[in-house]
Amino acid sequence: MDFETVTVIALAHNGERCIRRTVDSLVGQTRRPNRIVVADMGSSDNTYPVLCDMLGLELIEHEGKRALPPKGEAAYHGVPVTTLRMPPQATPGQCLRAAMEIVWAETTIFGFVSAGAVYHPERIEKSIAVLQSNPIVVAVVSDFTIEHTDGGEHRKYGRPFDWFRLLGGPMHDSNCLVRKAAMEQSRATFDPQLHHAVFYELFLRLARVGIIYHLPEVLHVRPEQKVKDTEAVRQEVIRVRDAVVQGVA
Amino acid sequence: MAGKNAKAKAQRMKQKAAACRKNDAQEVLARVGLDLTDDLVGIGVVFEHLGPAQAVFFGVNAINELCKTVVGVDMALFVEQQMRPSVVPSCPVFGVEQMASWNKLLIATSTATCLAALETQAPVVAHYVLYPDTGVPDVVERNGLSIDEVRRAFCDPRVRVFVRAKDYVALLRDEFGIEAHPVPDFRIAEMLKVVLPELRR
Repeated sequence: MDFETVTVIALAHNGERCIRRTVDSLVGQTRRPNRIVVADMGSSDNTYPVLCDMLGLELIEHEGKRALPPKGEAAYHGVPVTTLRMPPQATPGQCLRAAMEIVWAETTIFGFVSAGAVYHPERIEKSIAVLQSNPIVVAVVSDFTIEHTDGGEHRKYGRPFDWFRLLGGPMHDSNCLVRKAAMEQSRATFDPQLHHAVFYELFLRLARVGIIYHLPEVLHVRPEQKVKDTEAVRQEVIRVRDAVVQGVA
Repeated sequence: MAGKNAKAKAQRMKQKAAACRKNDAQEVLARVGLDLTDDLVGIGVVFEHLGPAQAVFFGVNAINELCKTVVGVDMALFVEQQMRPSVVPSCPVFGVEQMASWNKLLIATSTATCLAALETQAPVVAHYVLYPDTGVPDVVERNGLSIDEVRRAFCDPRVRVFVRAKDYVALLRDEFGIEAHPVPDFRIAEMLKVVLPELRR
């Protein structure tokens, strides 16, 4: 019994084939989350209908037509799940903010799952154990496996947190569990203007109030990601870092 | 008669208390593989910096705990970049340039600090591997070091390798053919249990 209220926020984007296994991995945890929020970042495929079908959400009447509800709530294998459909132009920062606003009051630990990722069954339990045994730990990250499109996979070794290394560039994974109190203390909120560096900003802010703990075990699997516009990412990373370090933002 | 008995009883109590103290001290020293007959042991730990980092937090806290509980172990920190520490150490802190004359056990916390430790007179260098900084394709970052230098930091006869996770043991065995000891979260006492008996020999 850990007396924590864990809310896991799963971001989904064009993931009709993997949304089910993401949610299944969350409800299959040895320490189940108290709530799951799935935010669909304006998918152009059937991600949201698949999600609604999975949860048994009924269509609603909208301007004389039958449509999927923009927000829904249902229990999935005994875990309350909230769905949220964001407009296509919504940024990851906006989606995360909207999802967190729904559950802010009731939550003590936030978990984040990137689109298509799958948690290892002990992910939440092990992260909570670290957070509870070390009050200075504000977030827990881990190693992970990358699934390639050709079916292959390989382990990605993460490095333990170091402030100076963090200043050099973003941590390469956004799947983490974060103490809400630390988010309040560090004023870490997801900037709706950011497209690429939302979690980099979060980690920079959190690192000013505590330690980001790296668990050297594979605790999630995530699909290979397409290479993003690197110059735009670099510019955003520099802007975020300067703003946080100078305390302007 | 009664006075004589009381004196003898007090004497026995004193002896009992002394024996208890000796047992306690022996127990504490046994935690790091030492006993009361050992000479003062000197241990130097080399960090890149003492700023905010997972290694520094767990490392310095473990060192402080050791300083507080074990008498007979003389700790010193050597730091490459001097800066305000994120955790205040309870032992002396020196720059790495002062490490040259160190002839006792050294614990290195990265490949680069291990290479620097090998330049000293230290009889044994414990290399604590926080991250498998090897030639494995995915973890090829070597901080500008050649593979021969990296190999030396793991395979030199003076080096004993400790790893943060059990998973790294097989990785280092495949890469360098060495057998590493898993020690989570910089538990320095567990490292000393392996190294100190060897040093004593």
